[in-house]
Amino acid sequence: MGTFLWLVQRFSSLIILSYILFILISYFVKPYHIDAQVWFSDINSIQMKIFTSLFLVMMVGHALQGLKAVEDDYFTERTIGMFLAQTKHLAKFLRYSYRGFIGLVIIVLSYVTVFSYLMEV
Amino acid sequence: MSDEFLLSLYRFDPEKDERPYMSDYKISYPETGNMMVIDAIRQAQENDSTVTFRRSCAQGVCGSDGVNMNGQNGLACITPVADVITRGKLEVRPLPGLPVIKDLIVDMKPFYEQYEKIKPFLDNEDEVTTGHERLQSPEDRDKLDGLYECVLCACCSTSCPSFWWNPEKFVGPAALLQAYRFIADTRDKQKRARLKKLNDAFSVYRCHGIMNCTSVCPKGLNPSKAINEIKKELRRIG
Ligand code: SF4
Ligand code: SF4
Ligand code: FES
Repeated sequence: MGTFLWLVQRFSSLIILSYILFILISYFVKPYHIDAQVWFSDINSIQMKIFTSLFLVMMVGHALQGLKAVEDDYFTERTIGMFLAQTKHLAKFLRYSYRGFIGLVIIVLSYVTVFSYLMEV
Repeated sequence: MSDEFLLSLYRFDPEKDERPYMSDYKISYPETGNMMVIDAIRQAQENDSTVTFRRSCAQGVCGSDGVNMNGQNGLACITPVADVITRGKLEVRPLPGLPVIKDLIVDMKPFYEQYEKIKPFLDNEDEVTTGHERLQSPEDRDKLDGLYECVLCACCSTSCPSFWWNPEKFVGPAALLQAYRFIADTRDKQKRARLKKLNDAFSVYRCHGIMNCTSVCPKGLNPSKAINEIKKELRRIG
């Protein structure tokens, strides 16, 4: 499992990097700053929709591992109690709120991506 | 150089004190000018016999006097005061991240539990055919240099943030160095099983390669390198 998660992290960072580089380079190659229409048709092309969706899935996969590490390290009785002993019992509540917040962000992001981008023609 | 300096010691007696505090002692340098941190603590103990501190060999061999000196972990017996003192003051605290038993003494149990987990012994059920011991080529023996010398002082593991936050799940640099010592040993027959046991999200992979461990090791060992070797082996077995 450890090695698998490590591979996911490395592979996703490659996809993320290539997407960002692709967008940056195309900004210099294509006349986006002159004609916004070109940008719209490019970003809405089927190839870009696939690439962008892949990028977003990879972003979520990559970020979740980092966010889980933050939860494991900081939203624990040990760490919270280290700052203020009386608050350590809040750790569980904070952990679930944190998870809830991340879940909400993923739902909103998926909703916007599907309904305002992927299904748009 | 002034002939005196201020030694500030962390004090906590769970039976008496509600919270820890620092006690200051004026320490005079010996005539030679050379002084190890352990000598300074000893001088403080002469003035105040309640100062509690653990040590044995006083020459960097037993690993029992790991402390935090002005923010840096190390063995008090082989750390010159001159190397750690700043502006005439030296603060000595217990190793961070382990429960304090009293003053500068910490409970090493969480550290030893991780050590126990990695099975720190040669595991080989094959019959010994030489009649006396398992032989190894000089080249294979060389692979153990930089691994076997660890004195288990815990200076590395207690300087590692990943170990502070997850001492039950992250094996920590000291025990991982020892895990690699047996993974790399050609006389051991459990390499694959040892690696498999470490292949989860915490045991090894919680190391983020910040290298605090390597920079504090008083024996000059490199746990971070050993951890990377384990990660490489893990990728090799898939
Ligand atoms: S390199 Fe790894 S084991 Fe060493 S201090 Fe950093 S996180 Fe801890
Ligand atoms: S690796 Fe170095 S710092 Fe860590 S326990 Fe061994 S001797 Fe101490
Ligand atoms: S007292 Fe033994 S290592 Fe320092």
